[in-house]
Amino acid sequence: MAEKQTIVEEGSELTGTLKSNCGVTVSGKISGELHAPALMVAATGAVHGTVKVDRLHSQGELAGRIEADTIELSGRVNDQTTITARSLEVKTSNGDQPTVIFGNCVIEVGVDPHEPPAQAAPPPKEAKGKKGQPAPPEAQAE
Amino acid sequence: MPEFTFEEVIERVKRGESLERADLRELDLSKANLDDANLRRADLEGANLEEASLRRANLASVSLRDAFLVRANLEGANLRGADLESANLEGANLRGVDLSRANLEGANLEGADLTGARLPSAQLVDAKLGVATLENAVFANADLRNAYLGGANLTAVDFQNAILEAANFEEALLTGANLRDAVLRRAVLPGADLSGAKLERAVLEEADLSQVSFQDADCRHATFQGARLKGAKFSRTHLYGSDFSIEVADGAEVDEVDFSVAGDGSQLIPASRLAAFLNGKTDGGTASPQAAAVAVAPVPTNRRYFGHGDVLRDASLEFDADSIVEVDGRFLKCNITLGQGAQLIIGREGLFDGCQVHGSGILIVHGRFVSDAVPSINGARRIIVGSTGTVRATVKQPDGHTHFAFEPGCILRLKIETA
Repeated sequence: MAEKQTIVEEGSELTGTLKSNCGVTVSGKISGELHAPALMVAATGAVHGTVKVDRLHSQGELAGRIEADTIELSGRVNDQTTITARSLEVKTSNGDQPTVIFGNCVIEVGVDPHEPPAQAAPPPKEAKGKKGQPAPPEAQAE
Repeated sequence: MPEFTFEEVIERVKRGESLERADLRELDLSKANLDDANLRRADLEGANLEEASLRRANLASVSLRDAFLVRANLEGANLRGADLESANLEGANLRGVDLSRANLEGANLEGADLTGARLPSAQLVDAKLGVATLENAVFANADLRNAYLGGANLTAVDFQNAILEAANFEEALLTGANLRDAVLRRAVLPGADLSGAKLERAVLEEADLSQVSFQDADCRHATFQGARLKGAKFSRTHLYGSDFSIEVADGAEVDEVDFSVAGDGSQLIPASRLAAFLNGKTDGGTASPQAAAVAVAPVPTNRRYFGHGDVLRDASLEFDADSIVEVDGRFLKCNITLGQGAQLIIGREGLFDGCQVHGSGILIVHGRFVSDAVPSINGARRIIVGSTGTVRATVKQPDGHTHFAFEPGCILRLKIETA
């Protein structure tokens, strides 16, 4: 039996949150939040919003915050998009057109063992009130 | 004297008791049934295991130096880190075994079945693998110097980054094999079939490649200098960025070959136009001048190489259009301008730290490019990051966008900006 798929057909538009236990294929448009094990965005498809999936294969349009374990990408990535993945594949383009047209975006892929660890935020300053007494008003406001 | 007799070993295995670290040196265990036995770190040096059955046995870090394992059945066994130096494994069944980091120096594996076996980083110097079946086996980063693999079935074998210097592959079947970054210097391959093999950046210098079939093989950035190519067949072979030249190709049978950057067959040059093409006369039927500017790379007159150990600091460099610059050294806080179509290739050992790259060139990264400069890469026409590459940079694209290509495994921290 074929694997079950959630399909958003071309011409359909879905706004809101979509959570699915099966793969999602988008030929239409999704605006909002999408959680699924796998997402396939067809060349006519677009997903704008927050995406959290294990596997993403996109030939269409992506915008927003995209998180996936593995991504295979072609098509278009819009401005203000952040892509986070363990593995990203973009195949070499065969002609004058790039495989992916990137807008202003951020891409974070893989774990860089040489990367300096992100600086931890400093602990919040303790209010310097006397023991057993409330802190002075200016410290409380911080 | 071994710690146990044959009968005691059999009895322990039957009861499911461990033989971990047991001293079984020189013991005769021929035809013994040791399936699923735990022999981890056991000492079996010089033991006789002829036709023994060791299926799924735990033989991790075991010593089998000089052991006799002819026709033994080791299917699915764990031999990680095992020492099999000079062991005789002729005709053995090693299907699906894990020999990661094992030492097989001088071992005899002739006629053995290693289908799907894993041997990454294994030592196989001087090993004999003649007529062995090695389909889908993994030898990535393994050392096979002087090994004999004549007539072996190596279909789809993974030799990525392996050292195959002076290894013998005569008449071997290597169709679809992964030989990316492999070192085949002085290797002997007469009559081998490399159809569809992946040989990107492979070193084939001074190798005997006579009668070898390179049909549909991907030899981009491979080096053939000093190789013997008499009767070698090049048909739809991808040769962009390699040092393939009329001199190198002497005696080879060249049909049509591809010089496209992507290795996608979009720059096929027929044999009749090859000489003109390789001599830089790209008007002989190639596509647009822009395409030709990229495709002319095989015999560049302006190729530069910065080797491992070279360090350039605070330098400003300009590379002409169509030049090829390969860097395995370190460039620190350098300012680099690439002419149209110029290629900057950062090798696996290469590091660009704090540098800025400008111009409509091609940047290929197999090593590391890390820079906090904004933009760190400005106007590049193509950026290709290989599976071993790391790029941390701000990229400002030119009008018409940069062509990006990323291989799985690469590490990216990119901020991409449009023109």
